[in-house]
Amino acid sequence: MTHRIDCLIVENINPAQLAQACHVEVEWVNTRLLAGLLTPEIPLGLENMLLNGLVLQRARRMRAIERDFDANPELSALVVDMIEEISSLKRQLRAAGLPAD
Amino acid sequence: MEFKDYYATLGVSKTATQEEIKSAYRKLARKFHPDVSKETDAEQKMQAVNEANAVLSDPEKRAAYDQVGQGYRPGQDFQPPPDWGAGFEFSGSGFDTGDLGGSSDFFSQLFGHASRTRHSTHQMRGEDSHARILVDLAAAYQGASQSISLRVPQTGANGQVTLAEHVIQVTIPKGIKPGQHLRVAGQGHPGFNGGPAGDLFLEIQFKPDAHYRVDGIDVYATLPLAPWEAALGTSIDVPTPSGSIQVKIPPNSQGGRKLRLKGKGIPASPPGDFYLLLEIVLPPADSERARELYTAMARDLAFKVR
Repeated sequence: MTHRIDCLIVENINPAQLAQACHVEVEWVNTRLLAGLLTPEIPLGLENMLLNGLVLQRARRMRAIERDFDANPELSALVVDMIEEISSLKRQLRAAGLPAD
Repeated sequence: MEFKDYYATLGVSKTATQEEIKSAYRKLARKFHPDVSKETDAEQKMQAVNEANAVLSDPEKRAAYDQVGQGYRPGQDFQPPPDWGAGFEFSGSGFDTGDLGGSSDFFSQLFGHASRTRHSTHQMRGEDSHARILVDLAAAYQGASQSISLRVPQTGANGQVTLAEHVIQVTIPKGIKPGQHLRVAGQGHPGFNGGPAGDLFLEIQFKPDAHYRVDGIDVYATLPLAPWEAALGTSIDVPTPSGSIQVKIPPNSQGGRKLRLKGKGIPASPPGDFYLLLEIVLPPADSERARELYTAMARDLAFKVR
């Protein structure tokens, strides 16, 4: 039997929801937020903070790298920075009509 | 249910040390990392490697697996013994089962029950789960409906956990962009002792499109022009994902120039822009008349290309 279900775009997400979605403790999210590893800006307060939904992809990537390679948060953030940079450059190549792979 | 040879999955011997298992796992984690691997089924392979590592890197699970798997070959039909699990205490699934199809039937049967009974005294919300879905660019403009097959753990009367297939039809709202997530409430893992189910998160990726390229919320297309259209200017009906738009090409346009159609990209908030990349296509000099025209231009136009 198929159920029809509406879904919502994750525009914003708070640290607790982000932790839940990434299967980590809120502390994991908070320490990386305070270190500026998840978002460019370092927050003043955490509890009521709303993050751009796109941070979910970055957080999940960081968590996977930390888990798979026993990487520390700074190293996993560096790897994800490079993954994001490469993706951005490939998108720009494709946008210019050039092969990217 | 097929028996899985976790040692073969990681490419290690049955006598491998924990250090050898960790090393093999890291090599494969790098090879099948979804962000770098070129293999089409990298995600599935990574799940299999994660599952094998979750068992073999945990001494309790490894001992239990070795005991129950004695005499089985990979792919052979397998059922755990009726008293399976007695004498072992597992400390959880040991890996991220949040991705759809994250654990196999084999793993769920062996270790799923143990991880679920950990919570036997508390009412708890189920874990969120994740999947990546490929959608057409048109879905971003008009919204879409897409079927998704979920593998949901179910505990039978004998306490054993199996994975049941569950198909849902999700309505994707317009305005989505690549890398963004959709939340499907209550479609994650079931809760414990009457607790609510978790949510399902769907990460959006666009299928490659023959005509359009996407960069964030902006959409790009190439517009071929004849040399006289670019030189003299013209008006052209240009197809876009939101319908045909009449575009004025300014005189003296050069190849490589970008024309921006403001707000005609992905209808997010704020909306993206639609860019036309002009490409000037030369008619071939494949007839006497064409050669005459090119010769006249060469003679009459004071044009230095270099």
